[in-house]
Amino acid sequence: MEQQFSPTLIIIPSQYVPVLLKLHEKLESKHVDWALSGDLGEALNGVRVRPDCVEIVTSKEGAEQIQESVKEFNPEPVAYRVQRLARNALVGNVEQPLYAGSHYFEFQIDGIKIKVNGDLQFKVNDWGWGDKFEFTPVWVYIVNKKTAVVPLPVKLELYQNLGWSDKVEKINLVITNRERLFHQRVR
Amino acid sequence: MSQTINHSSVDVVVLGMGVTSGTVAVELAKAGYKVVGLERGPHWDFASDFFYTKYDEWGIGFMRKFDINLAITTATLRNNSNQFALPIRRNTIGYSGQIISEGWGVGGMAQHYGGVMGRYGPWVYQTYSDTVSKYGLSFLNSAVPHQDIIDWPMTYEEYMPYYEQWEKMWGVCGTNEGPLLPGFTDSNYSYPLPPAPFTPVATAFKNATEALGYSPFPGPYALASQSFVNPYGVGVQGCMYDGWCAGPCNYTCETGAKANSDFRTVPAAISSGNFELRTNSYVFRLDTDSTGKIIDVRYYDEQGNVNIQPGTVFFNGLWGFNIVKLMLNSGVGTPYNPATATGSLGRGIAMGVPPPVRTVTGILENIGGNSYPCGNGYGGAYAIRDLCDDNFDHTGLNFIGGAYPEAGFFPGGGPNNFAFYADQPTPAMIGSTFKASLKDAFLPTKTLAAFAPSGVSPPVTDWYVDLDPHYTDRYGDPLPRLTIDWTMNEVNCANYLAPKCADILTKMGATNVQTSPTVTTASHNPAWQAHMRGGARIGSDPANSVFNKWQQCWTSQNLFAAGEICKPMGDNTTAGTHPIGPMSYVAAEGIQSYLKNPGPLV
Repeated sequence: MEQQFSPTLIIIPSQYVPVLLKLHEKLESKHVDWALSGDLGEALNGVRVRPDCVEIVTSKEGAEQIQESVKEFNPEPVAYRVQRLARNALVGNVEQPLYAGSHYFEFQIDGIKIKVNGDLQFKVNDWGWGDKFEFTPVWVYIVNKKTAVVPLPVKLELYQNLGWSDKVEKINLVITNRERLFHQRVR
Repeated sequence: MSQTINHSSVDVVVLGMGVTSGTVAVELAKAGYKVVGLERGPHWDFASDFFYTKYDEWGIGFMRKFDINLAITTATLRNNSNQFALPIRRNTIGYSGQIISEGWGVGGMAQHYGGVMGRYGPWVYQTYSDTVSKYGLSFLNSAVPHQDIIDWPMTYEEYMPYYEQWEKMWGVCGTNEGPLLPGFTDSNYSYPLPPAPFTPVATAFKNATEALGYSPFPGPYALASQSFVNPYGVGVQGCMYDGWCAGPCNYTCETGAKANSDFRTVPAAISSGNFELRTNSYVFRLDTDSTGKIIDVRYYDEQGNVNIQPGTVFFNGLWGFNIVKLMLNSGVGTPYNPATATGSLGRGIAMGVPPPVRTVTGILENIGGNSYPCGNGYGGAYAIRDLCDDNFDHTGLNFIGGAYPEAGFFPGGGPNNFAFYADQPTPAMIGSTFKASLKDAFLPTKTLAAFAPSGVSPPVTDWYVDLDPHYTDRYGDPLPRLTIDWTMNEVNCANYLAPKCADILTKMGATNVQTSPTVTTASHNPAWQAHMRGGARIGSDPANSVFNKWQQCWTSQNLFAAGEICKPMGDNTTAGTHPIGPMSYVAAEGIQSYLKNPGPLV
């Protein structure tokens, strides 16, 4: 039987840690709001997923400030971009093309790709753009640096709307186990 | 039918999978070396072991079901060399006297420790030379007759970078320790995680000690107050209960907020691809060649097979004096001879946190506490260092060291009382006084506060570990025999500090403040406990130490070790886990140096 770990256990590839600390070093005096999203953000919330890049969500202005702050890593210029995602949305059992629009740029630190999305929005097929991706972050200390992360309930709602049931299931597992932990504790 | 199984040689064989072993394993595995970890217990399964059964207070707290079964192995104990030592047969803590809390399984003893942290101060590392230079050798010999104190081979300043490395990996919570611990005021450094909210008792303690001229600071601890990822990419969500569970080291942690190797280092070692974990592996022998070099380790697996694991380097991270037991049974090192005070292995054993010599108790009324508050684990506490080490003038006092008053957490564990704690608060061991104090403690408006100054326990030539001539473990190997008692150092210290503790309690607003009678003798200590130190101590002289500054064995250069048992000296500032973290990083560095260039590192 597979070893069952605590739903609160976080495991991310260790090479991400110095990259995130370097990001902090560049951004901590800039007064810019940014948060980790994507698979890394979920992993930092305890979801068993292996990230392949760092995804940051921020505002348009935030993206510009970040781009300015990481010049030494030769970032692309910030540009508004609409990209069709590799995975479709599943709405009413019908697959629909899914688009993300954001003020976007990317760069690399120590070989790890960092994608920055300012004012991120999603659109299914030719329907209207959704609301800007906004949330109250949860906080994770990367070693000793307090880091904003997109909370799981926000991701859960997003994936439910997109019909990505596998991701919904993974997040639900973590949330449910934590609730069980809490209820057992206070019973 | 059991058989002998020969394994292929690896770079590093790590014995035990607790606090120090996990650190060494991950450091070496991530550096690219092939590492095998041998753990006598299981790899606990989160769901079945913790999630569904974790609040079995009797089973966990008192029957110690996460400790090793003492029918497998234990130690024998006596108070002097004229006594017949008897085996410790019960894993109990607190009121019964004998206290044992051995690790069993991945995570080791830290699966159910309190998580209390705190660096040793500079005095601990140079107790002998500092005391002699400041007060003279005659003072030291008078305060501690038959003293056998040696300096650590490295100073506090030399350990500082290793402390930082450890704290960032372990996720220590706290702030800036204040003026009595160098490194916290000379830089902007503070512990990586903030402290939990402070308890009402802690706040009262802070206000009282400040008013009395002391320097309180948030007591550091290792129950992650926030979600946290360490440099290995392993982390946990923050504790949901502000450290509520800690108690007398009762509970395993289902969230992993309580730092141990299972939630900080072992997952990273496994994911490195260079580490193989073998559980249910009971190590019983080191085999050597004619030069003293270790060539392999033998262990029993679950089926009783004898396994032989060769390696280039061996790290002995077994629990406590099992480090000594293994070496003595293997003929490695030079056994201590108490008759002549020569030899080093088994020498210098002392208690890390001695049992209480005296107690001071009082009742805090309407302070805002009750029996079930959050924020009363080892988090949310305040402490002072003013009364420990040599932070006050010892001229004419006839003792060295001191105690470490800390307030705000929960020495009882589970539903219990708030308490004011230095070592182990016990208003009375048993009987009507004890019952009355418990009754008081459970009243919502009354909070029992207790203080039990015991003083630092120094090594003396009369105390040691050797092999018991009568009792053996399940496999027929002699048990380690402890010969240990209090010294007058603890007694004199407790007598000096008890009135000061009473002053603090009174200033906190406690009523019915009572101080137990002055103690005049130091004999028949009923308890020994988990945080034993010495016995396999590090040092600068092979004549009185087993390992050098790199935690490398003087006589078997490919054998390293780290743990409480390797400390030459300690104090009461912590339960003792914090300072062994830096030692494990020193050992990991030493092992890498040895692997690159085999030979003595000193």
